[in-house]
Amino acid sequence: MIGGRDIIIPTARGAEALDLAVRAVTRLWGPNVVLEDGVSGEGFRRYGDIDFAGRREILAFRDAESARLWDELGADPSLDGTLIHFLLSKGELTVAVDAEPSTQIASFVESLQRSLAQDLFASRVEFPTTEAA
Amino acid sequence: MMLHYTDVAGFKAIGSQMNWMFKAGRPPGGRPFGAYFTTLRPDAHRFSARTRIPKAKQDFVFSFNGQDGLEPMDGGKGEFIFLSQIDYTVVLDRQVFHGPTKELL
Repeated sequence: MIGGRDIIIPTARGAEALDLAVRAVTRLWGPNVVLEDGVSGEGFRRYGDIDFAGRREILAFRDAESARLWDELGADPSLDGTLIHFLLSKGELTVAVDAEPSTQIASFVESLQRSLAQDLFASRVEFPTTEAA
Repeated sequence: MMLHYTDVAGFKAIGSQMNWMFKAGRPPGGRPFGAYFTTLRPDAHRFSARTRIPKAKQDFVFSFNGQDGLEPMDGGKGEFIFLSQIDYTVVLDRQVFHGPTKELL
């Protein structure tokens, strides 16, 4: 049985929406975040290394230990709050989170929804950060 | 090829029938009531993270041909997750494999 919760955000911005989401999660979890292409497995050391053109999925793990544990334990309650999965499809950005997301992650998703509803990169929406949580 | 992952109890319940019957249920996270399937093989990159299937529910697998009556899940996961909103039957001639997931690798 599939787990987690998906928040589907309508957007016509395509790869730019995925770009914004990944930029925001980098702010949320800081420099230790682990970013990977969910389809190819390509890993990125930092947000700036990612070419978003043609990309459909990005997995963002809170840190390297979380990424390791997801392979070892699978979807386990001990890993709640350590993974956000972004999937781009026609006219939508899907944000896959825990079934019962933490306040921090719920706030992050709400901020992302607001930001995507505004002019991209002109947005002044404040995203939560680890320090603010 | 469509795949359904389950635990030992699910494996025995489904696999004991000549025609496999996958019972629709209510998953966590406010997802629609249904029987869920995926096209992802167990060795797909970050299988657990992409499907969020608990490890115990990955121990056994059923695989079958065709996707009649299945619909892609809403959103980006519709690329690899499908569901039936009612119990879903797979007759014998569509069945390909059932057993421990490690034997599919």
